[in-house]
Amino acid sequence: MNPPLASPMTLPGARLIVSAATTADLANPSEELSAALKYLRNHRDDWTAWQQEHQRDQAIARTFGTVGPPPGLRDQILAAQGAQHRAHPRRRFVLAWAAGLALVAGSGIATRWMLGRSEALVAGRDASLAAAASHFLDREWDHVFDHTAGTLDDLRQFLEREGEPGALDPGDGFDRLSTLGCRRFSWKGQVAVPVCFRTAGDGGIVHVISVPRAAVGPEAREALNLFREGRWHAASWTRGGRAYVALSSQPLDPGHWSRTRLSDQGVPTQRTSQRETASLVREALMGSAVQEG
Amino acid sequence: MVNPPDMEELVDLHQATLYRFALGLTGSVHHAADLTQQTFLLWATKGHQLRDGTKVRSWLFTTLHREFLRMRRHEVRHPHTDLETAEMELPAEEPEVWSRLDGRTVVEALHSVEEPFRAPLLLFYLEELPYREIAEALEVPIGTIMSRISRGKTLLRQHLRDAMTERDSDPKILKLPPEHAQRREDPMA
Repeated sequence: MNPPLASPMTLPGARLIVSAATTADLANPSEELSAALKYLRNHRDDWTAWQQEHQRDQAIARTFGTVGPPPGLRDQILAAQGAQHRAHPRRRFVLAWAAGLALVAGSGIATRWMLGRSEALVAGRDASLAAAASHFLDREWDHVFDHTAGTLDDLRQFLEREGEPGALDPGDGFDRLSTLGCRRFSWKGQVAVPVCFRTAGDGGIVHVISVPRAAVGPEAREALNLFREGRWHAASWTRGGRAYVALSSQPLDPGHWSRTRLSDQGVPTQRTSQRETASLVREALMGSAVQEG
Repeated sequence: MVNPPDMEELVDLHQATLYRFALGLTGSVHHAADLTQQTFLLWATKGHQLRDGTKVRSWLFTTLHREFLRMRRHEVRHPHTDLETAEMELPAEEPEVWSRLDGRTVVEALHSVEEPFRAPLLLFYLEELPYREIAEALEVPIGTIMSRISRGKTLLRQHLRDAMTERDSDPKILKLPPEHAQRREDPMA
């Protein structure tokens, strides 16, 4: 640090330096202080005044030095420090715990993300629209809709507002089914729109996924194709510029129910209602679907 | 490089000085004790960051002063009245030359000095640090510190004169020495 006062020494400067000099300074005077003291010594009145001032300062300092801390402060400080010290291992333990938990959670999330991503890539690159849709419904969908609406027409209007006009025209029959909502996901760089339909009779759910026909490629067929995709009963067809896949947990082939009824005579209405789902879907598909695959 | 002392040694070395500094700053026994304790607690958590063991004393004064400023800012936002000067447990008399000065009078007079001058003045009278280190501890330029010490001493003398004058009016208290009572003008001012 530079000396505050420049040479040559002046009387006000010497007074200031000497006045501010502490006992520690005077015990080991700096070059600057020595010069100031020497300068002041040559001015008798100022020197005398400073000596008196210094005596007063010493007396004040001595008196001030007799003021002691309240009894017990030392023990209080050490006890508080000890308590803090003892608290540290707990804090460290908690922090270590939290860090470990975060690491495990992070690893889990990362692993899940990696797995999900690799599966999504498989579904996206190699799998069919049905496989991608199945993957989406089983693994990624959080059962939240982008838009909820009770009719297909409402969903169409929503998608038009969202820049996806004409995305939902799976067949005239579908207009008679009530809807729950739609949710979009990306497949081969295209927006895929799954819509959840609820059949009127048994309340069964059918998911219909719509993508631009070009995304499916040359294998896209206009004819209705019924097949299995994982746990899903699936149907695919095309209509206009869109390719569609329907996924349901219940068979979409009405003939299946006929065969079942034959082998399982007299039974149950529940199966009858499941059959209703298939019938409704099939009926819904009739307008566009050409033939079974 | 000097290794910093352990906690107990540190408390034994500095608690009295730090407490006096805090008492002069706050004028309150309780606040002074709290500040002193808080300073040591901060040392316990952050002191290891100090590489140079010779700077421990300055670090403690700096920390205490910062905590005082922080506490004062808080009190400005949440003012409260806690007059406890009557509870100060200070030694009664200084028996030597300036026997008429007592600890309480000095502390009260120091505390009465306006704030910019108070902290430098307290450190000056604590006789622990050279003014260069006082400047470092209070994070103020050295020229400013010298001016504040000098000005603060003048203000302190005025407060002490006032205090002693009040005491003179009290028949139970001894009269001021003539040279002290007459010295109204300060040649260094």
